[in-house]
Amino acid sequence: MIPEEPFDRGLRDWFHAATERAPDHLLLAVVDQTPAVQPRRRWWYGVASLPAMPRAGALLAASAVVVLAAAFGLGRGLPGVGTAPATASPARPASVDITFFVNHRWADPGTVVSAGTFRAFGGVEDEGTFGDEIVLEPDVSYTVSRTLRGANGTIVAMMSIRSTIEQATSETVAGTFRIVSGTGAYAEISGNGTVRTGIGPRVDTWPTGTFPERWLGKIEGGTR
Amino acid sequence: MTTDLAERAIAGDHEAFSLVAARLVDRLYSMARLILRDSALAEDATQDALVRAWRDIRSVREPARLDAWVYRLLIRSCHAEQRRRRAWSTHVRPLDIDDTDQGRPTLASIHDAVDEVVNRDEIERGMARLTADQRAVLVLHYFLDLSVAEGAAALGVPDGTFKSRLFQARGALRAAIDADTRLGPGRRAEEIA
Repeated sequence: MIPEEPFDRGLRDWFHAATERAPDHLLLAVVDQTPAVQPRRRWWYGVASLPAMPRAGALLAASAVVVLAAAFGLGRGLPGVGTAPATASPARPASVDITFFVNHRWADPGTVVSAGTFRAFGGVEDEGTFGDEIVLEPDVSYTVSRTLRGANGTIVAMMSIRSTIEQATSETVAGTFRIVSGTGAYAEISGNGTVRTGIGPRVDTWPTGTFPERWLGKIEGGTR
Repeated sequence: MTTDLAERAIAGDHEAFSLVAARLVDRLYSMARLILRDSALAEDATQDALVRAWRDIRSVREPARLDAWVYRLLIRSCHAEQRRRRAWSTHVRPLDIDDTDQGRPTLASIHDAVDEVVNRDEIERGMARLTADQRAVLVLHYFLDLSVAEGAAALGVPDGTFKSRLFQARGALRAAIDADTRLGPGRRAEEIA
């Protein structure tokens, strides 16, 4: 008889080694696409509260639901991959790709000082320095207010990021950013996107150290 | 995932949902890659599952089971991708498990070898011979480390059904690896050619 454990252990190791980082544009596509999708209401609450109907009445009601569903729902489907939103926006947002080199260090207990340099391409073409104001949440999430100071003006964005320790040697810090204001050439700027931080295996030093961070998103009112 | 974050997402808070998506996206993509064995299909399935998750997020009754619910959506999306590309069975090959071949190692001796070391390449090739359904069950159990009850919940089937599918998938993988070992590198290359 074949002992089961070595095979299962080998299998588990193989599966665990198969963890891959999703392409950045994948999360961006989801964050970009979902605002156009309205979450559906919980329909069963209403159904559950209905009084018991006679069989004929129930059939009639079911038929009515089918007719209504056919009238309003058929052919609409899910706005899936590559499907355009129902309403086209008048101005097409431009893609933006910003790389940061972030320097984190502990100041006082519970306070992290974070600053560094950035370089932006796409809808914003600029480079300069930035500084963060970080609020550490109790559930390993962070709310960050980041001010980018470039040659053409300043941009203030809010980031919501979470740290996830998948295994002993890897950590993912990911989330979203939303531009809230700007000055100079960025006075009318708006936009949002995803944040990915490349901490890699240095889980023991987080959040102290220097590491790259990347924003991918869509903006309007940039320099191009 | 914190219950608070899940509750906010379920209530329709898009920012909270984005954080949930950011936290799950690597795991979902890895699952889809393992099930579909194709990067492009895996991307489509992951995106489809997350968009569906947002659309139906209010149907989640227990915030603590949000992850399992999203895994279930992903597996459905993987099935849909497979059907769409009409590739459901292209990787499935019948296995010839015969213990009487002359001049080749016996099945018993191969089992011993498998026990000593489960080669990564062998597992890779063995996985290629399974159906997407079988791969999905193995992914839930060995990749996500879900228990039988959790895996059953993720697939929406009774515990016994999940256990049975897991047993069959594991057996099929083992048979595939055994067959691969019996073929040896020369025969394997011939068969692939």
